Amino acid sequence: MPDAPTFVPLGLAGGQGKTTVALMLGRILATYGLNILFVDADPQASLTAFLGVEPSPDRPTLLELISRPPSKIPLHTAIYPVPQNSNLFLIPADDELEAANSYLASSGTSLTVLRDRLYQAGEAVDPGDRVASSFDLIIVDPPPERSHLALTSLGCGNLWAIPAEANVKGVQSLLRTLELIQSYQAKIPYGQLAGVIPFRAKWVGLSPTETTRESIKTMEQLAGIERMLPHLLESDVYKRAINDQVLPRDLGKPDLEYPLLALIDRLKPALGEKASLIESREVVAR
Amino acid sequence: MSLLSKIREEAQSPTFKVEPRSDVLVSPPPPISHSATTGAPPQPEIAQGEISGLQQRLDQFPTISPKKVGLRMEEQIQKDLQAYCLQHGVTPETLMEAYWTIVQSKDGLSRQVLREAQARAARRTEAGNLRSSITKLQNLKKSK
Repeated sequence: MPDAPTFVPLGLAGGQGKTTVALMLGRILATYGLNILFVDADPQASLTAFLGVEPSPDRPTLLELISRPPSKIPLHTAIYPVPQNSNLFLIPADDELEAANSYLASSGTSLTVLRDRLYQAGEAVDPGDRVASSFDLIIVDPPPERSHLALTSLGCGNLWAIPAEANVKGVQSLLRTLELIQSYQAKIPYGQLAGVIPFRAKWVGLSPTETTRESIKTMEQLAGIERMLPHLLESDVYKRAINDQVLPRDLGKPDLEYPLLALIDRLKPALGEKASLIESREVVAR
Repeated sequence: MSLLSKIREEAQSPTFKVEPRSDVLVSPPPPISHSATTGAPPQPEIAQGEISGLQQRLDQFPTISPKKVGLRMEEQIQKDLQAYCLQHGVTPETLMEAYWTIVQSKDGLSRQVLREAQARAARRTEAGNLRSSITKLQNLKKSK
């Protein structure tokens, strides 16, 4: 079994849609039968909460995985099954993950430590017990700050996407995130930018608002039009779907998943044989 | 058993446990100089009878009142008294206790000391009255 690739939605500001993209993408892929491992790398632990996982105080979380060696904390012991979805799993976070920033700052291994842990680099593991080969995609939800946890999230990604609000704050976040990628790209040649997803785009009637149109235009200039993905609309349906632990389709709004399906298309080459599961489902749906 | 099954089993019955995680916003406790492994300071071995023996000896001493008596004295007497105490390794408190004890035991001396104390009290009262009169007159002068 080949190792699963890692996808990371990046964005150096809060409220850009990183967790929404991570969560919806994972849930959609799970409907195709793919096994997804989420990694919550944000001390705010929103993804952990949205997946309905409550980390036990005496079980390992991402903090222990990052700060303690594999001999002390084997990778599989920090993975929680997600309730009510047999294809979803999570390495959770809690507030105390903040301590990982200090550890990473002093260790000098921010860029590589999480990737080494997830892919069990240097560990003598039976092929059947390799975590990365037991899943089809790993999705890391990074923190919004330009921190060591953000850097370690960037460093473990094969594929990145940048969700960015369709406003000035989002453009600023996109710019800073592109600069971060540019700074470290040479050290992580296996990583590539899959696309930019404008988030919370607003439309009035059949036209986007001026702010949305101008912001997306600026994003195209910054990232290149070929990298742009369809935008996620400003809609309460996403919030309700997150709250209810379902997908927009379950709330009668399958169209709102379109930008995520477009993202999945970009990820397919990295999914290998598993991509055929997605295609066959699409054929059946037609 | 597949890895995913192992993960589910680990969730049911965890085999790896960690210590409670600490909040980074809460300052860590000061470093402990004694052995960190015991978690408590080393306790010296004390014979049970030792404390009660010391307590019995302590009980033989007079109890010191928790109330303090503030003494304001003539400047020169206070200076002389402090120098005297320093010279002989006593304190104004113990010197006062000694004077009281000795004088009480000698009736003639006791009356002599009392007369001197009454004369001093009268002088202090007169001095106090004079200070009061001066203050009142100064205040009247200001108000005109």
